[in-house]
Amino acid sequence: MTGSPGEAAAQATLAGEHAAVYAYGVVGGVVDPSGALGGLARAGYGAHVNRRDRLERSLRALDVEPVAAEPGYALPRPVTTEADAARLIRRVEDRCAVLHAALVAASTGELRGEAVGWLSDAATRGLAWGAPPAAFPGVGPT
Amino acid sequence: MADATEPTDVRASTDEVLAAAAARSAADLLVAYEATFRRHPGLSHLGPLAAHHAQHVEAFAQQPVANGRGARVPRSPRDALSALAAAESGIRERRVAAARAATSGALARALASAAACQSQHLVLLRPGRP
Repeated sequence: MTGSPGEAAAQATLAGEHAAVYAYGVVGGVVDPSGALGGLARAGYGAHVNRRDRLERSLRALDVEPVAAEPGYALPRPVTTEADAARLIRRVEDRCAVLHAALVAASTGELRGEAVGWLSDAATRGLAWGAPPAAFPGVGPT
Repeated sequence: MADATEPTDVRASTDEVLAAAAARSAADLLVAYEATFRRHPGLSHLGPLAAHHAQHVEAFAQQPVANGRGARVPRSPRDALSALAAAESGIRERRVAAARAATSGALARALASAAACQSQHLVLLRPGRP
């Protein structure tokens, strides 16, 4: 898949996962660790770390150097309250859903199968943080 | 999605079969929700979920789709919710398999996204959700 649409989509998805790991790290410092959002933040952080590692392994297996995390990320707006945190995660999961949907379209075989599952995962995590359900998560207007 | 003008292309016709199955199953789910709302008006707040299935019919249908087949709606609202969840879950599994099998990337994406929508529905249909 070197130089293929699948590789480009996998790299874009990986870049999105780096950003998601950063965002969940920020959010983990804001939400009440003993509350419902604390549990969601820990679960989301772990899921995105796993997915990041999985994509890095897939790319290396193809002799492709995985894109690295950025040295720093700018937040769309400050995150100081749980409402800010939820807004940020809804944006992050929506962005991940778009990337996963693009990866489904651009890939085949095992990687596509995983991307199909990731798209559902992003859709349900967004829902848990207050996003409305959509007919076509990651694809169409809601 | 699949190009209906090339019926001799076996791969394209396979995608057509997958899209047609998705349209039919969406029509079945739409009918199941409507029947549920008639029997249990208290569940009508789930109308937006039914609307998603109407959008899925539109997206996947290549030609007019027969009205969905209705199933019996259980007597208790709780069992009716379980029945909807079971129907969603079974069709979601088939959409996931179809997304893996589709030749067209665009169709695979649409099927995977419809399955993701159904994953959201399964959360919203859990007992105890307002």
